[in-house]
Amino acid sequence: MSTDLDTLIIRSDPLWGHNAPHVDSITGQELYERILADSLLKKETPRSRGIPLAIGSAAVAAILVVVLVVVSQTAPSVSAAAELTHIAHIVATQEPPRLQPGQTLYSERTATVELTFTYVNGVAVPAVDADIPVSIQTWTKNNSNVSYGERFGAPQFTSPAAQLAWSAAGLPIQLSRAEQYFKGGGSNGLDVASLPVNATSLGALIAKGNTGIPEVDRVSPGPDATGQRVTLLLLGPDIGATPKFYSALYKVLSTVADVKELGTVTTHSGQTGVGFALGTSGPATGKERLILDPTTGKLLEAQNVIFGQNLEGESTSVYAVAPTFQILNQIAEPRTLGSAVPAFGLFISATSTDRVVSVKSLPGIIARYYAMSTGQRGEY
Amino acid sequence: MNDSDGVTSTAGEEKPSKVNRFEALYAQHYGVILTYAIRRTYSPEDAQDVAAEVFTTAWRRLDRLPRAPGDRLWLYGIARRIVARHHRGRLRRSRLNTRLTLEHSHWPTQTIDQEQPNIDNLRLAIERLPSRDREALKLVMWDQLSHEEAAQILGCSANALGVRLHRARIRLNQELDATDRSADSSPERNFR
Repeated sequence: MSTDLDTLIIRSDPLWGHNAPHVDSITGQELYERILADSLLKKETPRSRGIPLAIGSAAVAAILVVVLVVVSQTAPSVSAAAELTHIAHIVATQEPPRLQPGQTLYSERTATVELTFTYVNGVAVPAVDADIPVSIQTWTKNNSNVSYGERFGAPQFTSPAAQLAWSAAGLPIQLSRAEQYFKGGGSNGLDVASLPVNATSLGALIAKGNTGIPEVDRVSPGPDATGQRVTLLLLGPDIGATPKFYSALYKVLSTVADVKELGTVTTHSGQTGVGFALGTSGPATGKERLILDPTTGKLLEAQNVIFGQNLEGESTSVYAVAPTFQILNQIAEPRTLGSAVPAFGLFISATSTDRVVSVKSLPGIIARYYAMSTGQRGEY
Repeated sequence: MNDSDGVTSTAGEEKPSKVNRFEALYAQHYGVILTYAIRRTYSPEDAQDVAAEVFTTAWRRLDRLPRAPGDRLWLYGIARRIVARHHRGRLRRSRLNTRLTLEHSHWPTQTIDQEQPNIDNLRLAIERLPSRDREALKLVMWDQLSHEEAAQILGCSANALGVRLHRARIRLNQELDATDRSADSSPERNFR
């Protein structure tokens, strides 16, 4: 056999011998119609195993709805309302986590936040942006004793040029403290314990921005406001939430105008669920999406959630993964090892006795835990 | 409401220039980006999602998108990042490190020929290459990009890319030779 290596490499291409996908030049209207047709098809049949020529992703559908802005619905689609109502009923039957004395409910959620800065230290700069991975943890002993931790990863850039621009604007590549970019935001829990679990009452409060939760109520009024506020409540971190509360949230969402079901959607972590686009005819133009597990009602992922613009630029979540919960047995009280060393505690999972959650892997978080438990404010 | 996408906040008053540019970008490059994704993901659905996310990002950052021909390489760069994230998530979730090979073996349908055993071994060897060398090799040999284009996508010099390719070829030869020796059932082969 005299085949040389390069020939073999070329023939190892999974597409060797196949024509590359080709997309004809099409108008925006045709593009939009293709997306609609594809979305309808997805609801009825499994996804094709062939190489797709049409756009198959609801993510692009959401964008191109932005482009074309031709939908003018004023009510949720029938399928979206029915699916959300069904999910609400599933969630309502679930049991809330019940903590025994000494137990702690631990949750962790992650997000990737796209930050765009146009001002740095009050000085206008050419717009620079980066994606920042964020992890938020909570430890809840009861509704009045909640601890938070935040971890911010290093900025991720779309190109070396973007990184250079970021540095040239005076922004660091390594973040030393979470508060460096989130001034007081991002770590406050949403106390929902006093909110009604009746969907009608809850919906009225949310629609009017009268929940009493600043992070929720400050969402600008408009046709998308209810959907955005519901999303924030779903993402939390919530204090005092129960399955009946989440069920009511889904019922509220089922009545929100312009919610569209997207069929099966894949999250960034590869999970599949049923997707919903919010505000498809309003200014948000359907960019914000929720992906729910249709069998459990669990929120798998929220995309393009606007967290706030209280920074020197813009903060928009590219995607946020809903929290995972775990009940932990606290087997030792936090204690201080020297004046400059954060307090240490040790938890063992109640559901998996061989898994030890060591605070050593969570730098900084227990320092805050300790600070809160002693009524002091500390840094880490 | 946020107007960062450049679309006016009143429905129906979109800015034609941005719309037109996105349409042109999509029509011109969706195929190559989807192809890129197909070569690096596990299923058509995954590839679709990657391509969709690339153009999602392109739409959001259209104002900062380089003009042609730089736009194509920019899209490749975004696709590379998204594929990497896709794989990280997948590996975290399943830890099935061998799945790439297993799934690639039946998707898309391969042309079966006498070299198929060699190609299967080669695919395994390619996937075992260090990520930078592997991506350099794929960009040049599979995606048929020039050294300069591949270097730009990978953020390195053309010389550095050449080094990566050379290193990758040496490693592949070594791996295939080792496979041949262990099999000890095929005619002597020299790929150099």
